[in-house]
Amino acid sequence: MRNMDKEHNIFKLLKNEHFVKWVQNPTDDSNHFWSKWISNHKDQKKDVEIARRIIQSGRLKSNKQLAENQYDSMLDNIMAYADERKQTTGPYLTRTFWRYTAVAASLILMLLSLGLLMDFTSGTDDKMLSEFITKEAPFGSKVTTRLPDGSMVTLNSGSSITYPEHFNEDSRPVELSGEGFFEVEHNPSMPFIISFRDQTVTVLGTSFNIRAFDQESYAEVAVATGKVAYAVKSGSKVVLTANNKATLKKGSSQFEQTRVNELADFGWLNRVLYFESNSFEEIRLELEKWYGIEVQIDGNTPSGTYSGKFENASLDEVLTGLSFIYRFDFTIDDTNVLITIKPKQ
Amino acid sequence: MEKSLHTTDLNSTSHLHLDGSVSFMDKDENKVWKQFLEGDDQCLVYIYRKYVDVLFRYGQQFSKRYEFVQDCIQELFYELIDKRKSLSPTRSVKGYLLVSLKRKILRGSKKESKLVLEEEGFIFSFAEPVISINANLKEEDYQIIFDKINELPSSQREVIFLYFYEGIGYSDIAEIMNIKTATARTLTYRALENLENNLGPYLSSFYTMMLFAQ
Repeated sequence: MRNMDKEHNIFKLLKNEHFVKWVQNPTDDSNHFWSKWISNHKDQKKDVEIARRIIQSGRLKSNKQLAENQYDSMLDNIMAYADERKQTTGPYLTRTFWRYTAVAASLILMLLSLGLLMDFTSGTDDKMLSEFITKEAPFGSKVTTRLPDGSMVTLNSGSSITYPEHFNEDSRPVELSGEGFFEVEHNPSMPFIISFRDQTVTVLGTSFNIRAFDQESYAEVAVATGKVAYAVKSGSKVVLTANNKATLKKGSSQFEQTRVNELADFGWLNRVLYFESNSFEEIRLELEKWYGIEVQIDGNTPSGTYSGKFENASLDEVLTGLSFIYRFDFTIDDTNVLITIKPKQ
Repeated sequence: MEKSLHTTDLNSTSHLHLDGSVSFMDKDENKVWKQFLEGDDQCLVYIYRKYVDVLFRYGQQFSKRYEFVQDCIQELFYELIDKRKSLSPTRSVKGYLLVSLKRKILRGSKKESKLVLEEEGFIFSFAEPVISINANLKEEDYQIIFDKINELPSSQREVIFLYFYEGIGYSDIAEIMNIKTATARTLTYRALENLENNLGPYLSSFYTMMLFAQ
């Protein structure tokens, strides 16, 4: 018979927080500790094993899983709601307000459609009054938005996208300025067409990145999945498949094709600031966009290129890093940065 | 600082999978939470993907109206967006989500959830995908352990679920169960002591069997 005063080793272990953490989430340190502990307590090896399996092998009996379409539609609703709230950044707007707004909006829509019907019957132009919506990611921020067809776009700092409130039946046209990562809902009967500068990208359903900032000397399309058609409106065209990208210099009609570099092309989505042989001037422009700052330079602009990456780094961290390479001092005053180049020794 | 100046570790940090979806698994959760509070909506995708299954699993222990549970989860995320400015950047995300979901469900269906919780909530079973070769106990023996857990009062079953199976710390458990942190620990210990007592004779039979096995 078990001695009631003495707690069983299995339960001693289950009460040991360090032990429980080790089973749930082993690290190098805890593996080391517990393998040593077991070799010092050989008589308890089996107790350890049983306690471990109690933690690892228990499941809840009633566990209905979310269906995939429910999983997706909930996320869609949440992102759409976040988006809606982003439009009105006022902190005083509560959800109640939104509810009223929604009611008001549907009333207005009803009135509008009534009006349209009347217009229609009286023979005036029945063209749908499709409004255009512009979403913008100001300097220093990134914005994810959901388009009317369910496609998602993430805009990098200093970029914007314009699209109709409703897509009509034969195509999905949008206009991009700057840089955006697109995840386009598959719909073969309605091509998704992105216009920027004098170029277009046409897809049926895929994910890819477009970089086309006006102040930069090139435009670039990098494909993550699927297939896209990248064309200059006046003529030449290239079809890109997954992991390929095409660059078009301003004034050229010749596409330059290379492989995708995940960090360089998609890293910004994960807040990775990435430089590959960039000049000081290019880096300055990128930092101004990324952090929403203005950079003044005191002294001669340093020559030489820089390669490196900063993951989710603060402005201070990035500038400190660069200051070792380019040898400068800096001060940050709100959104103004002053870089003072150190004299050559 | 030196680290970030070189490009040698490029491959180890590529987050974008070839299927085009951004992998968030290696992200630091506290950072993501802070970024979200600072206005980055992209982080919601991470939080959602990471926790929606846990939330749905937990919610079902209080209500069998699955659509209602889903609505509560969605509302919870809407509130997260609305309350963004007033949330603490340092607290446990998982703890916060579970507390809020529980409150929502209980508010929406007090009577039902009490009944469901008592009768069907936090009932465990033994689930091991692969049978270990040097098994110390038979599957039936583990099933006995879980049957005995299922005989505990519902609050003790809940604490066992949160602590052992969701890896939630005592301070978050305290908030979820609306008790003090010290009480959360005591409750866990009491659950284990009750389990040990309930197992009494079985425990020694495991033991003798193990002696034979050795």
